[in-house]
Amino acid sequence: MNIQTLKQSYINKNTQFVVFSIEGQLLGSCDTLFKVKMEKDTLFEEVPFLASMVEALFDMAEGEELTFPCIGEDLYGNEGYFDFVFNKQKYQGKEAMLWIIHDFSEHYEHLISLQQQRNESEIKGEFLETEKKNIQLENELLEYKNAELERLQQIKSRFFSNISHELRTPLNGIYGLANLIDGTGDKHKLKEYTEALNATVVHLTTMVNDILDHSKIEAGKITFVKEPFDLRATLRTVSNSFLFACREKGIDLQVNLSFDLPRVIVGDATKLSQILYNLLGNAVKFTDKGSIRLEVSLLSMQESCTELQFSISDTGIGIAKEKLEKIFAPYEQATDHTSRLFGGTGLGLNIVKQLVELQGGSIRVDSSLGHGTEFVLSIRYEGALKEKNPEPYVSSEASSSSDPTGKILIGEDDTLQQKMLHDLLLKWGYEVSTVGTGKQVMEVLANTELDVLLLDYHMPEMDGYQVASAIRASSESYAHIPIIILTGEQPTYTEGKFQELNIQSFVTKPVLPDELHKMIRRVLTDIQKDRKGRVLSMGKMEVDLSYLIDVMDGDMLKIKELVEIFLSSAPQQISKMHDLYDKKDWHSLQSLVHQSKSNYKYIGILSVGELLDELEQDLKKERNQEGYLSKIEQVEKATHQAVTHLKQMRWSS
Amino acid sequence: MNSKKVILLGKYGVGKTSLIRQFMHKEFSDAYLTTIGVKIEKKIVTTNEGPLAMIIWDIAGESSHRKIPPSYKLGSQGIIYVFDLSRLSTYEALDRELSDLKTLLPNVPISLVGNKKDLLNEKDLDTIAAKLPLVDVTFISARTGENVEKLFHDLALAMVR
Ligand SMILES: Nc1nc2c(ncn2[C@@H]2O[C@H](COP(=O)(O)OP(=O)(O)OP(=O)(O)O)[C@@H](O)[C@H]2O)c(=O)[nH]1
Ligand SMILES: [Mg+2]
Repeated sequence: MNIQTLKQSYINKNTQFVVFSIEGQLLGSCDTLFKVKMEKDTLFEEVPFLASMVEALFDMAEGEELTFPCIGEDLYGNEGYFDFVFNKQKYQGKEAMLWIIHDFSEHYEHLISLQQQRNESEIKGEFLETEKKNIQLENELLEYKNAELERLQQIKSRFFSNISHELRTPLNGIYGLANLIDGTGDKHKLKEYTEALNATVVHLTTMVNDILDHSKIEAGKITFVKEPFDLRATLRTVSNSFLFACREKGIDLQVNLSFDLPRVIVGDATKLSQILYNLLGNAVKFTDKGSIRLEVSLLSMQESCTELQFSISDTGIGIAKEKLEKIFAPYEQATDHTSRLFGGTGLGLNIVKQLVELQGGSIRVDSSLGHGTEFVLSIRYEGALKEKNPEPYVSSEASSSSDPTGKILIGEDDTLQQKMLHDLLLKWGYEVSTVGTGKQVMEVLANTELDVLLLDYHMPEMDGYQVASAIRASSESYAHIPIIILTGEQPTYTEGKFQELNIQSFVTKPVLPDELHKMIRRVLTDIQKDRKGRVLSMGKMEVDLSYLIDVMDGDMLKIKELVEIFLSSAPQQISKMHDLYDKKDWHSLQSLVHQSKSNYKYIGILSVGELLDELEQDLKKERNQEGYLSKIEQVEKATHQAVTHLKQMRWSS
Repeated sequence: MNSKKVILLGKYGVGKTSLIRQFMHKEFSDAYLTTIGVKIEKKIVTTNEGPLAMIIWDIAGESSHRKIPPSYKLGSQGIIYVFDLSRLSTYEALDRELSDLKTLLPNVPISLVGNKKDLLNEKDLDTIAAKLPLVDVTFISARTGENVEKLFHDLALAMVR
């Protein structure tokens, strides 16, 4: 056998030649690998591979060759891997396709395991790579979390060591004060100690509440009530509680509520108070001069949602920029210098922030070191009742409750100025009535008890001068009412004219509110000083409190208490007098008269005192028996008058 | 009968063979048996134009279609490009692959499919979808058969249109 035949026989057994026409008719096959059957119309329908290549094969040029390696197909029951070669050429004079099929199954099957290995290891590699990346990311995250956790832990433990110090200080104080109270018999000292004890307990309670609130919020256990509440009243209560502290420090507290605020809103009034107490408390704490302002306005109002904005600003020490960022963070503050200086948990602002945010709001802070701080926050409330005639509530330190109060009459013919003065005085907290003519002024004075008269100089009919003269000339009780003259003239000219009329003050128009306010306050304060020893005349009867005022050192509250005791006991004593008179028990009547006599003298109802003196003498000497009853009745009548009068008295310190 | 050549492309292991097996026989296997060369299958589907013989070329996966013998792609009338939703490397270079194929086989409908949907949750799918090129992608699962029938049906319609 020669080499050519060897080669031939080797290639022969793995290769088949098939020839078919362009239309797919079988023209010849050597059938070495499989027997070509023609059960269908064309070869294309017999062999899926050919079916999918019809067009491509058609498109081939004559003599062109196409190779398809490694085709896995079932050829007439012969499954394996083949290489296909197509060659377009003439066969028996007609255009035909030579299809050469090489069976390389053995060779390719060997390749499968190699390719399988390659693919599997690459896929595995990919997964390892991704996993590695994930682990790396997770590690980084974990590291970050750990660092953060450690940082928090450190802050927390620092916080707790500070807080326990903060708590121990008042506790020590309480312990010490309790010992002092135990050991002292001095009443004065005792009062001092209990006051200090009270203040310490309040301070401690605030801190404990802060800590409790904070942990409640952290545990997500805080709840908000949804109840209607009077917005203005709540704001007033909060701001009023700072009036004293502000006055002590000599700073102004201004409250500004916008006109359109709803009267009643639905939400948690206590939480709102808590927020404002905290922020105003801070403002007072960190402000030594200037003012503190609380402003409240309406951001939006829909049927089911009312958004309010609160701004709390001060002219205090301010907060440094780098601290501003951390100001709402819990724990952080308690460790820094300011809180060391002022005490407290440093949780307050964090609680405020949480309370605001949990009520659908937001809070921000703006501050400039040395100039002041402003907190602006908004809260969403569910609903609101709108006020029909909203009245602005503007308050300032000046209208604090302990300022002198009073009834003021304005005599002014110009409607605009009338209105302006009226609103100003009302704003300052006085009771105000207005009239337009001098004649009306006289009428009102005759029927109403007033404290101050604000009188315009230029008025129709009777001018200010004429009115003032008439008042001073009268014999009525209003003859001495303090008068403030409003004038457009140079005060020197007017003053000269009014000299003999004892006019308290002159105010030049246009009126400067501050000046007027000061003047009214001064006049009212003077009146109150004058009350010391002032005699209240009531027709024939007089009440003279000067004795009590002297004895009580001008402490009006105490005087009031004594008067009240008198008011409740006097009618009882009189009815007892009637009883004893009916029983003709002259002895008991005499001692009762003696006893009550001094009460009337203390209170300063001198005429009754004298009457009782006479009655006592009569009883003693058993004379004028027929006059006993009429004297008792006179006492009764006078007492009734005095009681009515005293009950109407306005008490101010 | 009208017949159309459909080729399946995509990286190894993305599930081309599994997808065809699910389509042909409603079967699935977890074992991975790689394909070499190309395996040719035929399935007759019905379209509104009558029956259509889909001759499906299950081509061995490569990292790029460029590594596949050009004769395999010759005369294709539909392309299914498969990637594995659980393997980033199988869809990283989609943009280039798709534009290459469009130049090579203009006017041939291409179905882009993300396989192994069963391995991912909705959130992960959204994240992946955001990273993909702005073309129609069908998320399928050869394991559960989700969207498999629809995929071939839609492609058949696109091819006879
Ligand atoms: N979970 C899941 N696994 C799948 C899915 N489809 C395929 N697989 C698995 O993926 C692996 C690869 O599947 P094949 O279908 O062989 O992938 P191929 O694309 O044909 O791979 P090559 O032939 O190498 O290109 C096998 O282990 C399958 O079981 C699927 O939808 N879900
Ligand atoms: Mg495969």
